[in-house]
Amino acid sequence: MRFYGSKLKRTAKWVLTYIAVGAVLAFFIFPVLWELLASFKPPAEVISSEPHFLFKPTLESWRSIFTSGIFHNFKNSLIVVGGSTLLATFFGSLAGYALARGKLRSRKVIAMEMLTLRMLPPIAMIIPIFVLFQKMHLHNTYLGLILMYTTANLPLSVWLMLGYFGGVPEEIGEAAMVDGCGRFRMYWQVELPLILPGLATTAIFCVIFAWNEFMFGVLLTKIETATLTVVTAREVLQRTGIDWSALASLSIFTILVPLIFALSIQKSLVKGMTLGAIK
Amino acid sequence: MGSGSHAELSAGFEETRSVRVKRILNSNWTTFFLLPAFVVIAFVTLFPFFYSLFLSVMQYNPVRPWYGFKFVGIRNFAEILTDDTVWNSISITFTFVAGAVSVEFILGFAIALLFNQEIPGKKVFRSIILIPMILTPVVVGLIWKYTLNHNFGVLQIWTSKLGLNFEWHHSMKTALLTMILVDIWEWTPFIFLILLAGLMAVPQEIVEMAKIDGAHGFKLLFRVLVPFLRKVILIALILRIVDAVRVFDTIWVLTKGGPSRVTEVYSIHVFREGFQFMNIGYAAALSLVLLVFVLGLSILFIKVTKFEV
Repeated sequence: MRFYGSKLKRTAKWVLTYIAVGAVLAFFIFPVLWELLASFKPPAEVISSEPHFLFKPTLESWRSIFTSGIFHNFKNSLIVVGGSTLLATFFGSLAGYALARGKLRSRKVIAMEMLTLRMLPPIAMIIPIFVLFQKMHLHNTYLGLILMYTTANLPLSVWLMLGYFGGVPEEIGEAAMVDGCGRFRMYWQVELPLILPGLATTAIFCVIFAWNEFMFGVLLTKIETATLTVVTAREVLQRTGIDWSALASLSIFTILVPLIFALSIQKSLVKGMTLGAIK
Repeated sequence: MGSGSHAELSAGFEETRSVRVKRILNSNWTTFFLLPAFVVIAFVTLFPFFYSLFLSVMQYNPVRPWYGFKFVGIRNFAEILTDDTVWNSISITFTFVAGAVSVEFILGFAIALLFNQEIPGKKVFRSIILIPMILTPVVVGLIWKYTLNHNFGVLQIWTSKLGLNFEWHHSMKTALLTMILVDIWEWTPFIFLILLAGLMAVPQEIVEMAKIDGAHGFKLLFRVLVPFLRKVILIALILRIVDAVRVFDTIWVLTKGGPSRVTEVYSIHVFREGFQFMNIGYAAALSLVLLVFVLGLSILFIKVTKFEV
């Protein structure tokens, strides 16, 4: 009897756990799922006051965004995100290497600066930058936005790189030094190849941030240089009548890149998001 | 290290130019390695910081740059003290941050505890929960704008069928609450992820020992787990607070700070002041105030985590 009771208790616990897990999953996934469904619905169904789960799927909405010149903004995103990621990882790895290998007295100050930079809200910097970029003709250029995103990503990049280089035994570099290797060659040819996976993780964090960024993007670009994220938001902010059907597929299209990249580095997410404070 | 041997070797010889350049580069190598990052950061933060000190004592309209800068002294700062809309936005920001972060913490902790046991399919479930915080924040705003829409939003329709006549972000009464709800949806996964990592690092022996001593349920949670996770909890909370203070994208897409300023958090207030009303000088003064506040938070973070290189 007692045995039976404990088994029942265990089954009850198991059922309750699964109900809780199911509720949690539904809460977090439903709105995204609904938007995904909307992107395959006929336009009239998207704004119907009788919501349906079952409908005849159509690619109408997707066709409409792909013929609306969205690829131009997609290309802008690729240029800006690619450029800033390249710079942030390269400069970040150089600085991280110097911090990991050099015996610097100013390490603490640099650490503090990096951290403050990470915590700085964009709105605290955008006012002077907006005026400066206007005066320096960086407004509405790829270079301007690339500079912004490079800076925004540098603290994280320096941080992660410092950690990865710190994990490489110093003897490897010393051996190369005996062979007459200069510092740059040592970094570039000996130690950097050893942390390529770390470099890739860092680059992915940079890509996600730059891809998702909105405030700098909306203020520092016009339609010719606007990124996909900016255009997606403009669609809803500046038109009088919103095309909810096109907006659904545009939204899904926009989130594909961060989604795929972030899920590919799940193991490092905690480390990256806490600036390495939690491993 | 390498520089000494180079110098000795070349002592008796005429040092060739390329050798000299190499020697200088190698002896000061940390400077050269740090330089590119420093230059970019200086260009986009230090330089603008001093520029905003300049702007904050000026009057300037970016749409009519030909009027130039007009010196107004500390008038911009004085104005902050008496400007009701500023204090309004500060109190909205505090309500937003306190409301969102506290619920996110409790909910995130609860879900982390739920997932800190053997559940088949746990890895896939975990990935699904992470999705909201990975999404482009602008799209998060759009998704909720769609599901809560007045006429055809699915959640609006379902809740009204249940007899709840919520008007979500359309109504002055519930708009801020809706923004908090959206933030909870978006960022609870962040707390969940960090606390789950913390929980999984708790040594199993400690939990077993506590259980033998009769600690179960809430007693186990508050007497054993919470003290053990103190640092992880603080890091999660501080980072979440810092990020909640800067909230902009989702609210901008959903309400632009409306209706009638009830969701106008600090970021949105500064943005509108600078780029809708074109008071660049005043907006610069407002952003300096925020800067000082965030600096305080980051010092707190360093103290708490004993952050070091």
